[in-house]
Parts: sequence; C-alpha cells; structure tokens
Amino acid sequence: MDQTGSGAMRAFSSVVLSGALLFAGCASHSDKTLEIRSALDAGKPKQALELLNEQLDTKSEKELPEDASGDTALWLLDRAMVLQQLQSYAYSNRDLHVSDKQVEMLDFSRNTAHDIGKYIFSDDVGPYKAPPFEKLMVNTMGMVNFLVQGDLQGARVEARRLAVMQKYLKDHDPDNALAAPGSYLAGFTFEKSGSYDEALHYYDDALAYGQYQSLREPVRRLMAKSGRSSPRLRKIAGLSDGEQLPPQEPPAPGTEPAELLVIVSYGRVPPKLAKRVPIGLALTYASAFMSPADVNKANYMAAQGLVTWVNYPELGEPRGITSIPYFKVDGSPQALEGIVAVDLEAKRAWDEVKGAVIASAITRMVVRIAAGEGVRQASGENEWGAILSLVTQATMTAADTPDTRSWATLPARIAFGRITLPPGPRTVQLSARRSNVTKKIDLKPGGFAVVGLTALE
Amino acid sequence: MSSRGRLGTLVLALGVSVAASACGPKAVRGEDVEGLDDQAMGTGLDRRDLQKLLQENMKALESAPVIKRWEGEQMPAVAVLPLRNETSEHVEGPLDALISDIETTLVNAGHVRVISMEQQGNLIAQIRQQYSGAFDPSQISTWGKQIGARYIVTGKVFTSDERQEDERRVQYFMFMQVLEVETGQILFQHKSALTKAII
Repeated sequence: MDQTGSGAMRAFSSVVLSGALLFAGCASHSDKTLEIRSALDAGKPKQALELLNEQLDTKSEKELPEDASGDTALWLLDRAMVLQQLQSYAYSNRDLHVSDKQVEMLDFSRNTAHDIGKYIFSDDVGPYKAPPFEKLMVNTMGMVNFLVQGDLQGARVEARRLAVMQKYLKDHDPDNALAAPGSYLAGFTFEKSGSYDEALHYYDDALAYGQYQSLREPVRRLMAKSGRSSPRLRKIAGLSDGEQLPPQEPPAPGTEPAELLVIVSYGRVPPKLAKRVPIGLALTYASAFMSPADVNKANYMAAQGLVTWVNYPELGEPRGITSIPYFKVDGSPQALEGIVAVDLEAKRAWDEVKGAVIASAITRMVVRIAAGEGVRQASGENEWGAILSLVTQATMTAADTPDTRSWATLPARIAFGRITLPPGPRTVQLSARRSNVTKKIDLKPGGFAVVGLTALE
Repeated sequence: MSSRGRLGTLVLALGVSVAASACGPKAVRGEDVEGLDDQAMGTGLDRRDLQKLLQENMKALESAPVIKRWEGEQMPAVAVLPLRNETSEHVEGPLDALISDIETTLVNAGHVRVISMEQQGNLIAQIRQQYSGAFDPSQISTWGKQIGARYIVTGKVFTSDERQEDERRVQYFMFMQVLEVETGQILFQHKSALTKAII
C-alpha cells in the first residue's frame, strides 16, 4: 500500500474504532424492554407505565418527552398500549398520535450515514423503521381509543389515515396491507356516522381477510340503504346472484334497536430477542441474500476459524394466544369473533426479512475482520499492530447489537363481539387473561356503544 | 470510484453523522429565529395556514352580496359555529382557533353583531356531538334559533391525502358558508385550498 493509501486506511481505522467505541456497550432494545415486559407478564401495568416513564424521562403519562430523537417513537407506542390497558384512552391516543407522526418522519429519514453505520457497526444504528403491520396498527389502536370514548369524529380521522397507509401498501407491498381489524373498525365508524357507502367499502376490505359472521347483519342492513355491492359483500349477506334484499320496515320512533361492539385485545406479539448462531447455520439462512464474494469471504473466515458465531435478532414467543376471552351482557354470555392474530402477522413480517437481516450481520462480521486486518497493516505489521487489530475487532463486535426493536406491546390477538339490543341500560362484562372490565352503559334508540378491554399479560 | 475514494467518502460520512448526533434540541422564541413561523413542521395546519385560509375566505365574503344584505339590516345577529373536520389530520384545535379569528374579523368589519359561542357551552357540546355522529345539516337552523342568531357562519374542511415512497402530500379544501337561520338557505359559500407535504 502506498503512503497515501496507508494514511487513508489509518484514518478509516481510527474512525471505525471511534464509532465502535461510541456504540459499544449499548444494551439492545429487548434488554431495555425486559423489565417492562416482565411487569406486564406479572399483571402490573402501572409498574410497566412507571418504567416507560423512566425510559422516556417523563414524570408521568401526562408529559411528552422533550427529546424526540432515537427510539422515542417506539417507547411512546409502548406507553400508548399500556395506557390503553389502563383505560387512559385520551393519553393513549395522544401518544399514538405523536408516534404516528414520528414513525412517518423516520420512515422518510434514513440516510446514507445511517446505512453506513448499519453496514459497519450495528443494525440498530439509525432510526427505527416500523414494518407495515405495525404502521397499520397505530391507526387501528387509535380508532379503538376514539370509539370507546364515543368520539366518531376522531375515529374518522384515524380511519382516513389508515386508508392512506393501506392504499400505499396495496400499491407497494400488497402482501402486507393488513386490512382486517382497521377496516372493520373504519366500517363501523362510517356506518355510525351515517356514511353507508364508505362503511360498506371498508367492510368489503375487512372481508378480504376473513369471513366475519358478525358483519352479516350490518352488511345486510347497509346494502338495503346503499347501492354499493361486491361479491364479498353479497356472500356475507347471504345473497345469491341477482337476489335483492327485501325493503325493510323502519321500526317505530323510540324503539330503534341499538348496537354494542366490544373489542378485546389480549396477549402480546412475540418480542425480538438477540440470538447467537454458528456461522455455518447462519450462512444457510442468509446466503441467498449475500453476494457470492461475501459468501466466499465468510466461508473462508469460518474455515480459518476466524469467526464461529453470528449475532442476530430472532422472534421470541407470543404471550397469551391460547387464552379464551369472555363477553357477557347482563350476565348472559355472548359470542366473540377472532378478528386478527397479530402475532402471526409479526411472524410473517419477520420471516420475510429474516434472511436479509442475518446476511447483514454476516457482512458486518466480514467488515470487522477486514477492519482488523487494515489496522494491523497500518500499524506496521508488528506485535503492537496485532494487538490493535484484535482491539478493533473486539470493540466492533461489542458494538454490533442485533436490532431487536419492535412494537412489543401490541396485543397478540384481537376479538370483536357485536350484538343488537333493545335500547336501555345494560351491564357489559369483559374478561381476558387475568384482566376484567365491567361497564354500565345506557343504549339510546338507534344508538351504539363500544366497550374495550386490553390485557397485555 | 477507487477504493481510496470510497474510503474517504466513508470517513467523511461517518464524521458528519457523529458530529450531527452531538447537537441537542433547545427552546426558542419565534421572534428570535428568523423564519421560524414560516417553516412547515408537518402536514397539520399551523398559524400561517390558518391566516391564509381565513384571509381568502374573508376577502371573498367582503365582496359577496350577503354583505349588502347585512348592511341593509340593522346589525343582524350572527353566530360562528365550529368547522367540521373531515380531514385525515387531527386539526380540531387549529380549526377552533379559526372560529375566534372569524369572529374577530366580523366584529371589526362592523356589519353584524356577533354572538359569542363561548357563553354557549352546552350547545357547543351538542354541536360537537352532532358533528361526531351522523351529521344532519338541518340542525344548523335549530341551533341558530336556540342562540337567537339570524345568520350562521360555519364550514367544513376536507383533505385529499396521498403517500409515495418517501413523500406524503395533504391537500386541504376549506368550505366556508353563511346560512340564513330562518330558511336554511346558503347565502355565501367559498372554497379555499392549501397543500402541506413532507418531501
């Protein structure tokens, strides 16, 4: 190497070492959330909230963090879900709203420096990019919060925001345009707002995901008032080709039936956890995502015994997916319908990117060895150079934290219960995991009520 | 690019990113930072947007026939009702601020007597409830009669919201209306538009 090249290599090595020292010793996201997840597992959401406030450097949920950088958006999403469990819907919504904006900005903001940092140091350098299902769940959970507060205007805003993201995903990533719970709730929101065409549009979207029997009567009711139709809508309404719904006699004023919707969100999606696997196994997962040159380098280094293990994130286990939630009205049990298995969406999303993430971890490892070699050469190939080379590699290894960031407080499962009732006072009881809620409601003629339970144990 | 060139770029990019990460946020006053109020911070509505929407609508109102009608009457009572938010942004706060701005402009123009809605807490709550649910436009006349207004100024805001790979554009359309309470007739309607985006 000529002198200029050697100088550049020295400068590069020193920057790499400085960068590695900057990131070294950082705990992974899953390490930081461990206590919070444990508090939720123990059925102590208030303790989880305190821990989240510590993390956000806020005195209580009433405050927003001053520093919006780093992974603040992700911490706020976690706090929003814990607040939803605590039925603090207004604060939960505020956190979701702030996160929604930040996640959007972060989505647009990853730059070359972040990509270089990711390439050399660690996957969790740079802003968090939420996978599609998480982005859609932000507005879905926002709608839940507005609906249980009876605020249709706020729910409509969330429904429109969801529609923008769904349209974008349908155009760019159709396999991940998770429509079910959000579209169902958007349909409900517009139905109760008197926009029947829009309601049927969203119900149609939801029906693309599952044959929700709880939509049969609402769809029949709306199709009698609206001209909108589709094969899915006709199927759920039980209409054969060419069959029309008979005109319905409107009920006498004051006796119009009311509707109750309950939303039970329970369990938790699997968190991402740091995992070490032997290099040989890692290469079988990832070689399709690497260049042949990098695969050869990695194989060579493995054969030389220079590398043995690779660090990468892996999905843990979901919580509470075998639980059976309950729903009663005035003491009488009612049916709940499973709307979405969010844990399976999380797994599917992870399986799609897993190979590329492991490939990235192997590539970083190759870079580490190369950087160590560069330091050794730049230091004159003596003993001192060999020591520096080892220090560089060791420091960079310590800095390589697997990116375990995810919205780990999302519920694993969401179930809806929907029944028509005569107007009047009712007592609604919901139960999931170890959480219960009892709510007294007064249904007005033709009105509606939404009751929610979030149990993140 | 040669390997030396790539190395140099890498060193520079890393240096810049490390230097940038050293800057923290700080609180400032609008008057201390030139152009602070001009910069868009998101796709919601800010003060400058509200001023633009208000100015356009009030300018159109000034030259509308309804002003002549008001001049012919002895300071008729007018109430400004909340604007309906039919957008994809939570802009209820800025829209409420716009009510006060419309009231102020009407008071200062001197054609009408403005009934303050701040004294009508229950009615405002009722209106918001109506806006939230299935909105019935005929309710506007009922509310006008309840507060003793002869005319109602109100409106609604819509958006067309689109997202691309790394961009989001929100086009706002604001409709302002003047209605006669007695007949429900629309005497003035104007649309103003503005666009916010993250690009």
